[in-house]
Parts: sequence; C-alpha cells; structure tokens
Amino acid sequence: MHRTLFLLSKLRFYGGLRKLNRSLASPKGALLVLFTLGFFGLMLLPALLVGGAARPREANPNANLFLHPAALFGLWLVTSVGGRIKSPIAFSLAEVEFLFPGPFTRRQLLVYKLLTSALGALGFAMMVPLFAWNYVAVWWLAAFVGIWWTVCFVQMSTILMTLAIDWFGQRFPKGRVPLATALVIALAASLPYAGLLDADKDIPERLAALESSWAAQAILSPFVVFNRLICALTAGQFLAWGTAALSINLVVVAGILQLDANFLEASLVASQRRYDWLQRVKRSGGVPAFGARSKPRFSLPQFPRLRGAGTIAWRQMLHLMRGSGRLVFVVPALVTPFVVILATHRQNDVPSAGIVVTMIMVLGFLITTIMPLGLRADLDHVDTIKTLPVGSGAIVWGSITSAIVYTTLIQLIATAALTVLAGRWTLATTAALAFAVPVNLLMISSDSVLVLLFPAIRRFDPGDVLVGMRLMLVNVAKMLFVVLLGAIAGFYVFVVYVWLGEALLAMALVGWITLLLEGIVTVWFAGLLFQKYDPSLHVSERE
Amino acid sequence: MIEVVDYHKTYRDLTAVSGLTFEVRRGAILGLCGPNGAGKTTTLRALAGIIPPTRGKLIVAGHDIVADAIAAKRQLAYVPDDPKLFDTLTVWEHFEFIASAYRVGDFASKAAGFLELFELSEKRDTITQELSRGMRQKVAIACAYLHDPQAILFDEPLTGLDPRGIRTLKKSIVARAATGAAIIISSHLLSLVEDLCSDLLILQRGRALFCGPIGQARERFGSLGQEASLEEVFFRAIDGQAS
Repeated sequence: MHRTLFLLSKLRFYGGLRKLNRSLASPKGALLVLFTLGFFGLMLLPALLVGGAARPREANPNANLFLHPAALFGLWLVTSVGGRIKSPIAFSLAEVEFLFPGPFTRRQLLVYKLLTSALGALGFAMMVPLFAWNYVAVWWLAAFVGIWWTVCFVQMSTILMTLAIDWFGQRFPKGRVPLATALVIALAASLPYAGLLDADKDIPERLAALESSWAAQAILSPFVVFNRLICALTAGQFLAWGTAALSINLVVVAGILQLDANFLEASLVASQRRYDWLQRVKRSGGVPAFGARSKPRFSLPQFPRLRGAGTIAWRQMLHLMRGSGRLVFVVPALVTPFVVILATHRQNDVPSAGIVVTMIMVLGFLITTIMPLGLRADLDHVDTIKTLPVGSGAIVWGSITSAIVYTTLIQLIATAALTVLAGRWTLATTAALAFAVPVNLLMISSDSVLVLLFPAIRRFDPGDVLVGMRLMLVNVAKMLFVVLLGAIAGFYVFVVYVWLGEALLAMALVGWITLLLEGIVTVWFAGLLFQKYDPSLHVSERE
Repeated sequence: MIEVVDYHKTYRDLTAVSGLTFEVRRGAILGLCGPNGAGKTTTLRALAGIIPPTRGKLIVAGHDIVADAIAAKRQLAYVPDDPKLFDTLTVWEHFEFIASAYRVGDFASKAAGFLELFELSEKRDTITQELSRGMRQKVAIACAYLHDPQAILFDEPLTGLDPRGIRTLKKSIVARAATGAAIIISSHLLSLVEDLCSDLLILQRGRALFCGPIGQARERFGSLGQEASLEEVFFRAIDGQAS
C-alpha cells in the first residue's frame, strides 16, 4: 500500500481513538462504555467460567443455527443482494475528493479500501459472543478469527462478484440477462432437489438434506470452511481450517485485483449513494426504506387539523407510508418462521396464542426500532416544526399517534396473514392486538422521551465506534421502561384477581386501561420535554 | 413589529449573545451582519421560537415569542440558511402542510403563483429529496410567504440560488416590505444588505456594534460619508472594535 494511504489509515485510527477518548470523558460516554463492557461481560463470563469443565471433545459444527454454513450463505446473500451489489467499493466523500485526484494508482486505492474494510470487519467480529457463545467456551480465538474472516469473505466476495458481473457485461453486452435468467431457473429447480420444500422434515432436517446435495455442497463449500474454523476445538483444527479460510480470502483478493479495471467511476456513484443514505438515516432517525422515486404513487387526504396534531400526523403518516418499501421484505421474512412454528403446533390452541403474541410483540419492537417513528423522525426538522403555530403537546401527539396507527396496522396485517396461512383467529388473537395499541404507545412514547433527553442517540456518523453501544443502550432502556410500566399494570391486574377472582374481562380491561394511562402520561412528559428542548445545545453550529 | 430587548443567550461557559436590543418597524428591512460566531443565527433562531433565550424579551407582532408562542408564530416566517425539507413530501405537499399548520384557507392559487414565481411549476409533484440545493431554498421561501407573515427572518437567503432566483427573491423581499412586513436578513453578502436593507445591525461576539439606518452607519464609520461602501463601513466597525 502507498505510504501516504498507510499514513491516512494510521491518522484515522488515532482519530477514532481520540473520539472514543473524548466520549469517555463525558459521563454519558463513560456510562455507555461501562454498560457495553458489562453487557458483553455478562454474555462471556458464563461461557468462560463453565468452559473448562464443559469443553466438549467433539462438537457438532452444525448445532448452532447462526453458524450453519447455510446461514452464513444467507448472510452473504442478504449482504450482496441487500444493497452492496450496487455499491461494493464505496469510499467516503472525503476520500473521493482527496484520494481520487491524488497521485495514487487504482490498485493502491483498491488495496487501501480492502484493508480498511477488513479492519472495519474486526468491529463486527467483536459481536462474536452474540452468535457463537457456546463456541467461545471451546476456543475464543477460533470463534473470533473465524467470524472476522467470514465477514471479510462476505464483503470481498461481494466485490468480486460485482466486478465479475461488470467484466462479463463489458465482454458480452447482451449476455447479462440470459445468464441471470439461467441462474434463477437453476436455483429454483434445485430447491426441491435439495429437499428444502420437503414438508415431512423439520428445519434442521431440511438444512441437513440441503447440505448433502451436490449443488449445495458446491455453493456452501467456502462457508463450510468458515463454519469449521469458528467451531474449531483443537489447535490442529484451527490451523487447518484457518489456513483454508485464509487461502479462500486470498484467492478472492487476487480475483478482485485481476478484475479491478475501471472501478473508480462506479465507486464514485456508490460513494455518493452511500453518503446520501447516511444523510437520510440521520434525517429520518431510522432506516430510510424509501427509494429514489421522484414522483410518489400515492398521497393521503389532509387529516382534520385538531390544533395542529392532525397536520403533524398527516405528514408523519405520509412519510411512513412512503418509507415502507423495504418492509415488504422484512415483515414476510419475520412472519415466515412464525408460520412454520404455528403450523407444527396447529392442534394446540395455547401455544398458538403464545406464538401470535410473540410475533406481535417482536414485530412491534422491530418496527418501532427500525422505522423513523415518533419524535426520533422529527428532531432533524425541529427548526421547521418549532416555528409552526402548533403547541408542543399537539406536535408530540400528532407524531406519536400516527406511529401507533402505522405499527398496529402492520401488526394487524401480519397477524391476519399468519392466521390465514397457519391457524385460526381466536379470542387471544383479538386480545393480543388490542393490547398491542397501548404497548406500542408505551414503546414509541418512551423512545421519544429518550430521544429528547439524549438527542445524541440519533447520531449516526460513519466511523463513530459508539453508535452500536448507543443503539443497544437505548433499546435496553426502552425495554426496561416498558417492562417496568407493564409490571405496574400487572400489579393492578393482580389486585383485580385477588378482589374478583378469575374475572378475565375485568382483568384485561384494568390492564389495558392502566397501560393506556401510563402511555398518556409518557406522551405528556414528552410534550413537556419538547417544549423545553433547545436544539442549539445539541448541535455544533452556533453562530 | 419585531422588538428585541436585552436578549442574552449563554451556553455554560460561552456567551453567544449578550444584552442585544433592537427594533424592526413595519416595512423596514434590517440587515444583520457580523463575522462568524457573532450570534446572528442564534438571534434569528431565538426570534423564531426555536431556541429559548437565557434572558430578555423577544416580541413579534406584539406577542412575546416565549410567553405567547403560538400567536407570535402565526405572524412569523423563518427561512434558515440550509432549509431541511421533509424528504418524502412533494413540493405541493409542503404547501398543503404549511397551509394546514397556519390555517391558510384557499392556498392553492397562492401556492401555484409561488411555483410560477420561483420557476418550480414543473417540480410541483416531485419529492423534495430530488431537488437541487437552490430549488429547496426556493421551496422554503415560497412556504415562508404562503401565510403572508408580518415578520420574516432570512438567514443567508441567497445560498444556492441561480441569478434569476436571486433577482426574484430580492424583488419579493422588497414587495413584502412594501406591504408592511418587517424583515430581517442575516448575510455575509454585504452587497445584498446594501441593495435591500434600510437598517443595519452589526454584531460581534454577541454584542451590537451598531444598530440604525444604513445612512447613519456610513456617517459614523465611513471616511467618505454617504459615498462609503458598506464593506468599508463593516470593516471599520469590526476593526475599530478589535483595536
């Protein structure tokens, strides 16, 4: 690598440390780090403490579904199809402006990008206890290196694939579509052959059948290597599988360097796209799912003004509905496992109710986390919103009500789909949906309160090492808050039980009303915070 | 129309604005000038009700922006230096939103007029995320005009505008002032201030160095009297203070 690029990497690394150090100097930053260390410590300690005693002589590398070669292949597929395929070699805008016109060869820039990406993947590998905690006890180093190199492979093979497609397209301009069609047909035809659609088998059996087919073995072979490396039990296994994994990555790097022609222009486009995406994440406070459609397909009629709350709700609802594109994939992907589980428990009503409730809760949590809901979505527009002749309470109610309607609507659609596909609509389903409303209110309003108290949690700067910690802290705090208020509601339900016995309707009603009142109080508190909110305390621009 | 009395804004150990007092009459255009960090945007944002003052009174159209915020905001429009429009809304939906918020009854004909004025008619149904910087600025200005505010605050209004857009905006500002609106323009472009403004407020480190009619500023700071350029006035004021 060019020595200037090496110097840049070094300076940026020091810059990252400096940023971390500065964050640690503040009580909030220190709290975040302590919380994260505690979180990982709690996950690692049990595995490390019992690791020596429980270290298996033989372990089944396919036992952990997260690490199954097919799951690793799924990760690769999601990574490559889910956006990277169009922007495999993305530079930051500063890199584009300083490095592209600089005295560097194309290959030097590519090597620089590959190395910095590989170092960036180290951060992801730190999440190893989340995915491979049972193997951490066996050999932490193998699990860590294995996951790190798997992520590197996923990143680099995506780059290689994109470059290969470009190369093929240049050589055979009319060949891309027939090739893609042939691949899709071959893939679809191989599904029944691989045993994936065999209804008589459960999921692990289907995965085993898939792995044993020759086509799958060919596709999954590199992922098998990474799986075995992560699950290595001995130094011999670690060395053998580690060498194989490293070789695969080196072959991929060699392939990239062979096909690196003319990536700079594509990279420019990709870099701009990534910058725009980050800006949209910053602005919306969630994953921006809308595409680049310049003329929208639909609009909504204005809601009644309601002291301005209707105006705010209308804008927020329009924003959410236009941003729902990616949920078309996320929601079915989330509902499908529940359909499978429910189908296997069709005879028994009790677990069915539990499964439906779990799905509704998981969906509620997911939607309120990834979608730009409530005040999280509006803080970047706070200048505009604060200048409107609308009271703080109306702004907060408008923002939160639309979010509740939206989340509950998706839960309703998903539940309907679930019942149509694998069950029947029961009283428990209706009750679960009815309770989803106050629970959503609590989740969204508590999220808004947290955002107003700690606006920095919305920050999403590239290279900000604390971003993951912040998100984790916020979600844990939000869940603790909801659980606490849920416990208070549970207490009142218990009082009713002691007083009236098993009066289910009265108990449900008291629980529902308590949750709703708690939500209303939280919204009132959010309104108070919004009124006092001073954006100039939280931005660097003060002129 | 706009009255600021003893306005202070402090952040822990930093004083952004200190004891600022000034007034903008109906039909007057005040130019707000000063070096970076002088407190211009802080003053405008406080007047717009975005940030609370640490101390002092800020009155818009007879209403205190803190004590009677809603009434004050009904008469006010603020165009920030980098307007953040709602990404997923079209240009027209921005008008709908503003009309609903400010209770503008029949907004369609006015909005259509602004689209034409700012050459945005073709972009009527385009999502604002797709607009260029200058077009977003035009949308923000049109939104600000929609409810016929009596007080308008501009922060660097020319940023990103093309020559025709600049001319249109200048004309529209003069026209608004002629109908009785009080206007404040914060800008580093002294030629813009010289072209449009009747009054001048020079800020430095949060304090007012001068506040009054531009002619008076020329007499006080310009060696050439009424012939002195605003640039000369500005640097004399700033440098005089520094020395």
